[in-house]
Amino acid sequence: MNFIYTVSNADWGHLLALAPLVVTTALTMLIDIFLPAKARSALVAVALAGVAGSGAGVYMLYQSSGNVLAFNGMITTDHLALFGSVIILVTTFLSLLIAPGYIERQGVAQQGEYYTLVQLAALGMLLLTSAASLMTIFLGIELLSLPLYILCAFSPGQTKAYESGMKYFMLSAFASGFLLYGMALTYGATGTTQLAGIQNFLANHQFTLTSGFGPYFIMGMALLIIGLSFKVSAIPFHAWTPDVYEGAPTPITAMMASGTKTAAFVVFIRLFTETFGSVTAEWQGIIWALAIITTIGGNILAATQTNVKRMLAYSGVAHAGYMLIGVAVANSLGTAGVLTYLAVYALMNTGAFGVLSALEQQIDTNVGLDDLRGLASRSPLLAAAMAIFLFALAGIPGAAGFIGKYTVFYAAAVSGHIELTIIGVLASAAGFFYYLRVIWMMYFVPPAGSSAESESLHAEIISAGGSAAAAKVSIATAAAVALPVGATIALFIAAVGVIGFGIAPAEIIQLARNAAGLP
Amino acid sequence: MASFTPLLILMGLTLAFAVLVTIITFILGPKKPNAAKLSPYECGIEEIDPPKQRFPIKYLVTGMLFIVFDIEAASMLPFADLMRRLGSLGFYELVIFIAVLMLALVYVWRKGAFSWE
Repeated sequence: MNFIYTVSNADWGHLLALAPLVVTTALTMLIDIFLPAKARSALVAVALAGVAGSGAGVYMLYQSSGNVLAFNGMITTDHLALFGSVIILVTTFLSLLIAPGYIERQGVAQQGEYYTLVQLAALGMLLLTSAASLMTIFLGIELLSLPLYILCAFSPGQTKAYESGMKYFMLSAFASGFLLYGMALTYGATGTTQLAGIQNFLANHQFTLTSGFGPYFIMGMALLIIGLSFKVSAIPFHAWTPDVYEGAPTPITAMMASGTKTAAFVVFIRLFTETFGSVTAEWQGIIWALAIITTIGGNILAATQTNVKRMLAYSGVAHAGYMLIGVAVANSLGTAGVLTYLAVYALMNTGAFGVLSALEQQIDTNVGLDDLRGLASRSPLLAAAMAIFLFALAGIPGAAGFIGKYTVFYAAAVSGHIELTIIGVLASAAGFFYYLRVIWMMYFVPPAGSSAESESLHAEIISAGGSAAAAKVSIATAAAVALPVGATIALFIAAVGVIGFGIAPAEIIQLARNAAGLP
Repeated sequence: MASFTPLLILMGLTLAFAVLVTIITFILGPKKPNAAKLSPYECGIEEIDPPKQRFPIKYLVTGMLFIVFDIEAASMLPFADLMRRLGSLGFYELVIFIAVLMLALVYVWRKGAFSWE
């Protein structure tokens, strides 16, 4: 076969969204090795500048018109890619703002590595959203996964973090194998790795299950579904989620939860809704079933958690289920729903993890439900922020989460999948329980250590032979939570975004519709 | 499909023979175990230290550094062959690629990977 590889000057313009981050990643490494250890906390500024630069690049690509495919059909900068990129950049930006507080608390010496890896992971996510070929998709998945394996274990001396990194590495590598095998079979069946070529092939060839390219293709598609379902943590491929989310540093959890999910869902849409659009009947049922199991299962599992981080991890599984409903309806309306959902989910989820990260500065361990007792009287602003994010995650009208759920359920209802709408609405109503339980803990349960009741509790702990450390914890939780500047800004941005999109959703819905190719 | 049938029969026979021989040896063979027979074989000399202990992995760093140069050489050789066809674009791509590798090299150097102790 003769490959003619030509790159025109116009192709380089398509890298505008990636290039700034590549440059600042290299800069971060260079500054890290030549700067004294004290000055390394400035590295977060370099990383933030890179994310901002990439954001400007996305805006310029959005303004420009012309061919969206570049590098011989390897990369695309269509509106879908740009919409996903913006979500990922916002998530990374917020995660970076939260990070310094965490790094200071944990005494992480390798700040340079931390910020370098965060930027590399963000680059992988961006590449994934703009992938227009199976090869680029795999490259993006690996580029996002490899830094995350390390980042998950980035808490010196914490075995939970090591466990998290190891589990993520083992299971994710396994899932990557599924994905790669699926890609190989799809390539074998259709003769090309380029999504446009596959789409073209499917449009011109009659699919039959038992003859011709059919058997290979259906197997490839099944393996692709497994690989991607792992990344979006859909049940039954969700088992890694709570352990990894719990053990990983909270800023990284925040970034993983929305960033990886966004990138993986964009690929889901690009591969299934768009590329495999002409054989919808062959995959729709599987995604339909996955959506139902994930929606119901995620909510049930989340309701049984007492650790807030694990609860949010399972709630992330449930949200993946709602988004899968948008994929299962298999049309542009569903795509627009998923994109709207991803945008608001990034804000509210990153915000909720940001609050947890701030709380962890008091409690060395992970935040349990009991640690949130009376947070409203200790840190009213922090509790208010958490309440906003949880209301949004629950999907109460007025907060942004409702908009996401509305667009997805609407798409399911008008596309003839009313059963998905009903299950989704019922499941999110059930989900109110565990979100509101946290709010109830923060606002209506007296704080530990301040009232007479917990004074006696404190004495009880000591008299019962409890360690002084345990008593200290209950005293520490009684004090107001000190918020670092970066975290304050991040929480403010997220809260304003959640309320803003909740009250005036027209813009974001319109942008999502444009990205899905609707007027 | 029919053309594969002899192959499948052959595979089945091979497998059956291997399993059969293993089972027969297991049943008929005399068993007189002693300590020397049961210990893992290690070049015939009794082990000096238990093998489960920590050992320095300095060679690992050297091995990782080798990859940097390895990839560099592996990408330069085909470029030498295709230089005229790739033109200036190929040249600049290679320069950027090597710059990134250089960054990795400088990074590990400053991190002290070259100092043995």
